[in-house]
Amino acid sequence: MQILILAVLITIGSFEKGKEIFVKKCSACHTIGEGKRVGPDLMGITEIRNIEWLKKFINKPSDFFGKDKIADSLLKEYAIKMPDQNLEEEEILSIIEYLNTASKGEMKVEEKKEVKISPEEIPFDKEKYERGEMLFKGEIIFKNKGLPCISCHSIKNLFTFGGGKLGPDLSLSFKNYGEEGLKLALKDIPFPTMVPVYKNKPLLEEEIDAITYFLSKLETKNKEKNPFTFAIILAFLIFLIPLFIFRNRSKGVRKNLLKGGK
Amino acid sequence: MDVRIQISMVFHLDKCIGCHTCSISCKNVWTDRKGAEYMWWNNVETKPGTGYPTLWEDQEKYKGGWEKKDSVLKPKLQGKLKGLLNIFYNPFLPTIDDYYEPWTYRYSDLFDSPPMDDQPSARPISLITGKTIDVESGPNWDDDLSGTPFYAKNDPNLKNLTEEEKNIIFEMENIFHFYLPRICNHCLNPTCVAVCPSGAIYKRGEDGIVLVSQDKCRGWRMCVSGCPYKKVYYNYETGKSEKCILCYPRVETGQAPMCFHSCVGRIRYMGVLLYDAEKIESAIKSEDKDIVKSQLDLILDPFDNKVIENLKKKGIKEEIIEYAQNSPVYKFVKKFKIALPLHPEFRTLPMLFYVPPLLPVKAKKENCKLRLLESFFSEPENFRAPIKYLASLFSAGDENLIKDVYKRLIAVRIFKRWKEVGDLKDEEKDKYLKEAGLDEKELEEIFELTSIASIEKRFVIPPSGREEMIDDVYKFKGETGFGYKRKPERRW
Ligand code: SF4
Ligand code: SF4
Repeated sequence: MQILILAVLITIGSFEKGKEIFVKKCSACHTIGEGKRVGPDLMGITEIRNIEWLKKFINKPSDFFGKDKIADSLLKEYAIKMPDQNLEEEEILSIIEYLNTASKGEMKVEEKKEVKISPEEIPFDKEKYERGEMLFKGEIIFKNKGLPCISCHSIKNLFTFGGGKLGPDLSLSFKNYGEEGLKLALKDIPFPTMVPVYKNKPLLEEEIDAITYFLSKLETKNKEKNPFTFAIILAFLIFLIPLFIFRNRSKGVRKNLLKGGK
Repeated sequence: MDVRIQISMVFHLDKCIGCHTCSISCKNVWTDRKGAEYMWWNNVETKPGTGYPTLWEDQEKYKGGWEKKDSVLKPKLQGKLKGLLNIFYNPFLPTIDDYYEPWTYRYSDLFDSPPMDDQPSARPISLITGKTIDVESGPNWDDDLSGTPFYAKNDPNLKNLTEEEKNIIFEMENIFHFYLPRICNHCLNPTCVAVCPSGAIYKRGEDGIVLVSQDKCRGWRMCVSGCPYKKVYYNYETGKSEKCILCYPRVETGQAPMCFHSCVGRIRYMGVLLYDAEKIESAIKSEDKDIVKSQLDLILDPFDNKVIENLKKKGIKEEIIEYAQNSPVYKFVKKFKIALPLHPEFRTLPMLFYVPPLLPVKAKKENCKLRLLESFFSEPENFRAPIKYLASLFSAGDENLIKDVYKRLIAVRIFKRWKEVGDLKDEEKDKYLKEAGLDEKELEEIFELTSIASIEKRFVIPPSGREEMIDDVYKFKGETGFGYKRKPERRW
């Protein structure tokens, strides 16, 4: 049955179109045979998943979470919900076809790349880092006037007063997406909430580069002590000292007296 | 000799009926505004009892008054360095619970209540938080010995009594109580002034009244801890301390303070005392056992020519001398020696003196009947209130001082009974008079002063002569009397 459906799909969907959409919309999170990224490696997916299920899931994953065992186990493993993609049925079929063909190895898959570069391996470029940070915070406006990242995203421990809460916290984005994934995500903007915002205001190569670099160095940066956090801890300790010295401060005598104490 | 003037007071405890009229009149005049609801500049407490705020006499808790160590006198609270370290964190303050949380009632509960089978009642609500509270305490919660097992039994003055003695005084037929009205003592050596980091508290040169400048006060509240009598209060609304001002606007115009004026029992006396400022240092440094004597030594005889000369030299109005000579306080304290300061061991040299109460004598049980001890005008030892207890209150533990006072007080009664009722023998009367060291004229005078004295004799208030303190009266015409026009409020 599965084979039959696939055979029908292949005739309807177009491999080329599927590839185009995959690269644009899916490759930020998924690979075919190159390992896990934000989401699972999709090599052989058409064989392990029911095609009907796959169709529906690609169409609207949000319908599955909390109701479907497979979707829930994926969520558990990857800790991130796949966003709804707003695709036409034909487009979905093309993607499935692409997945099916690419998985069989009949098509030449692009050369394997190292997905995860350890952030420490990238040499620290202060200027680039600062430019990335300023772009993120909106201190430098994107050339095409797109919204700065901080409007929707926050980065734990870095900005004292936080950032937007619409999108997820990006502290671990480099770890999850890898350099290539991040760059792709910023270039093609596959996330439905972001699409209308950046549709006509794409980020420039150089901007993407700087932001990716900034995000890649976060982990190393975060390890350095934030002077502000340090100051808060110090202030708190200083506050504790008098509390300790005057721990015998009168706490009232009357109630104690009634209890029979002195 | 450095003669100075102090307006001072005497409260005759025998006559206090515990009506609280004094407290109410003071409250209505001075402290019925926001932030001051819990303050009772004048309060009347029942002794034995823990008073208001709870256990105020326990200086191990509150660190009020002075401490003498190797002939150096320091505020028990802190020296200068510790004062600086503690400036943002005064550790020895009474809590609001030790005063009591002021409250009112939600009267709307009565007006808005739907028809019910039972009477509606109004819930008490805190005047500080506005939330409903369970009223657990008040400024005179242990009035008339209610709450004896908690409050009276924990009176710090009972600490020198043995367990057995304590048990005896709390037996039904031996129990006693008396009232102790308290206001600020306007001390000669006030700790409240000494510990104030802002220099906001001062003692007026002209009459010795101790005041808090509402402009300078920064709310450190050291004075609250420093005053061993807990007679400075913190206004949580304005962030300033406030205290009894001895109704100085009234005193300056020759009227007695409100609590004095309204006192139903006429227990209160006010007059001027002359004292030698040069002797203050040696007085406050004397041993506990001598402290009352040294304090009384400070007070000068207004009939002494040397004193008068010294006063004149200072340019103080001669009129004052006459007031000092007629001062009822001088008579009580120095002439008849029947008034003593409250807790002189705090070494603040309080200028409010108390005539100790003549409490009923002990009773004896005979065949299930209670009988008074032999002599109705008994010896001090036969009083229900142990002399030790009274000594802890009024003489820094010196029981002989208390006995001497009682000898004189009893002599007045013996003498009057001998004279008016005539059932006592002359020898008996003479015996008491001799022991008291007073002659008949003096006894008459004491009797008059303590029982039937007119208002002019009770309050001998010298003219303040404020108009003479200003060089050019016309310049200040229409301006004086207003003081600061700025409302006291937190300024930083
Ligand atoms: S009794 Fe009055 S003058 Fe004396 S220390 Fe207390 S507040 Fe100051
Ligand atoms: S008004 Fe006079 S008699 Fe009444 S409680 Fe006050 S001091 Fe005592």
